[in-house]
Amino acid sequence: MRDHPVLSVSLIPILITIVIALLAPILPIPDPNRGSINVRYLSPLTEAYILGIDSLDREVISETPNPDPFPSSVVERYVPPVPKPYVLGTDSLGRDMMSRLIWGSRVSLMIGIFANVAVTFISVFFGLLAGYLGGRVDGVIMRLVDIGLAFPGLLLALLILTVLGPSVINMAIAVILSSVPLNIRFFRGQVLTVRNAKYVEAARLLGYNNLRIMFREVLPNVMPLVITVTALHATSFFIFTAGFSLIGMGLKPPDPDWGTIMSDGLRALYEAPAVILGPTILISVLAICFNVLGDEVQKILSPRESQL
Amino acid sequence: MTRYIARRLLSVIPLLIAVSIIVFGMSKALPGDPVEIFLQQADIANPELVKSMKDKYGLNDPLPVQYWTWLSLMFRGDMGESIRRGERVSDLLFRGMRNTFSVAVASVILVVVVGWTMGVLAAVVHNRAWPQVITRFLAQSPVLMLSIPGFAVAVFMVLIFGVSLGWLPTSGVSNPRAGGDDVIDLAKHLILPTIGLALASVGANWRLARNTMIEVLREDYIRMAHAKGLPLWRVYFVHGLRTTLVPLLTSAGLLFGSLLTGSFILEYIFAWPGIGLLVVESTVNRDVPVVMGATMLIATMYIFLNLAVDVIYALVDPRVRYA
Repeated sequence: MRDHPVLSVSLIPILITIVIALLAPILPIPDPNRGSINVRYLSPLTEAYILGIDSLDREVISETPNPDPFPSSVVERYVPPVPKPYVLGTDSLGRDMMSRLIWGSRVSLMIGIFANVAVTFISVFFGLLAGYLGGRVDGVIMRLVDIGLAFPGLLLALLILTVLGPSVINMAIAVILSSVPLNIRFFRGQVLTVRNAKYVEAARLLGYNNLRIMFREVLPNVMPLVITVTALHATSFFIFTAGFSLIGMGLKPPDPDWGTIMSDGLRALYEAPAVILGPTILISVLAICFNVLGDEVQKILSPRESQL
Repeated sequence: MTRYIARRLLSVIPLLIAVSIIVFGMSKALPGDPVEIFLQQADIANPELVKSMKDKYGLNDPLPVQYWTWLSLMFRGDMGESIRRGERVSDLLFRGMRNTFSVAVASVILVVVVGWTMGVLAAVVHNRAWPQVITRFLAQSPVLMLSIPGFAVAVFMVLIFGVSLGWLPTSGVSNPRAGGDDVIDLAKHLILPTIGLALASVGANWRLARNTMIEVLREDYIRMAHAKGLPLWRVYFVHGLRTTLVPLLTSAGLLFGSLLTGSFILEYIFAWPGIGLLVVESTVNRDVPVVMGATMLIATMYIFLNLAVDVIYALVDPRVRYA
């Protein structure tokens, strides 16, 4: 770590975000889906007051400690009212933005990381099959890849989501299926460059079967690239999932993720710009960090390619 | 070369058929029967009517027949009518393409003017005793441009120039009060979407221009030009730039092609009524004919774009042809 200061620095924000997201259930933050209409569109770093509890056991919140008139719904009154800080302000339904951002990170990070790992596994597997076995297997896999590549960017994912209906799992499936073709083609190309190497030939002469050669001889030699590509692609998965929720094809409200929060913020640009600013800054910082991380990993693992 | 192009052109046909089957299959896999939904919305519950309407629209035919009808109608330019808007799908697609086209043109202009200029400048300044701030900026800023996602840039710009300063409009193509033909109004509406869409490409072309030009300036014929005593500007901008322009022009052409397929997220943020926003709105509204038409159009354009890339690579590197 000490030899790679840039790598370490870029890891810090990523790790902090992951740790905070994991700790969300035990952090002292309010319910991300529960708000109070009395405190809509609060700006960041303001304080409101909990006046008491109503008959449904909900907190009654007000911007002033002694509002006039005092709400009659309060069953159990706190004297004096308990101050409640809103670090990142509130949205159109008076929900705590910091809490929504933290809980939202869980979904976004989970889909992003899960999709990235899944895409790598699937693509490496089929890339190995197509590149190493060649012939008819290669033909079938690559024709399917060609079909997948006929749809630009998010279009295939959008079609899949339309058929399956919006949900977290379906969003992950859509993102995975639409990213796999390009990666299969890439890994196949890499496998092709090593499949005729002397050590592969030697393994074949030793009588090893294809499976063993693929996973014990070929795979380790394309592994640096696999790791590099996985690190470099990390950002695009966060962006994909956030984008889906933003356009209303991802998570269903009220559950938060970065995209749904941005979507809420887009509707309240003038009233509460902080709502959209929070997830946007977070995504930008993480995107830059992941890119730097990917570049650094590339420099370490495959120094030849990174000089190009 | 002609044989290679012919072979690649032929390979497009099965691909287009596969894509059309996927699009057709998707429309059939969607939950909910279009006729029943339509009649429900009109508050009519009549099994006879359902059957007669299905007969009328051919929805009782076997699937292959329905597929063939759809395909042959589409070849004649008839993609049906939008369920939500009641307009012809081809009209909607045409309007969407027109709006996407104007942002694509503006983006390519931005990429050429800013990206290429800065990249060439960066190459000329490379290894020269200029202040470090400038050389660092010229070398490193494309990395930053490439890292920040386009929609984040869009949001920042909307907040700065739209919300707090109020200089630029943040959504739509025109101000309804200004009328449709106001060029200045259109230009104002174009600025933010163009920057959001093009910034990453500006970064990519900036880097490409810099790297290519640095390579070119190491060539022997450049040394020769210097040795002949040509003025510096002539060496750089006549001898050097001419070779550098080849990969740059290719990349700009391909960029333009890919921009024409629209951007869902950016067009959504700016409420820019291009092809991307049309796809998003019609998927959210389950407007099946529009989704099918738009998807076929985008996929067809994309297939031919990929074909163009392959042909260009084959032209540049003859080894590709025999692979």
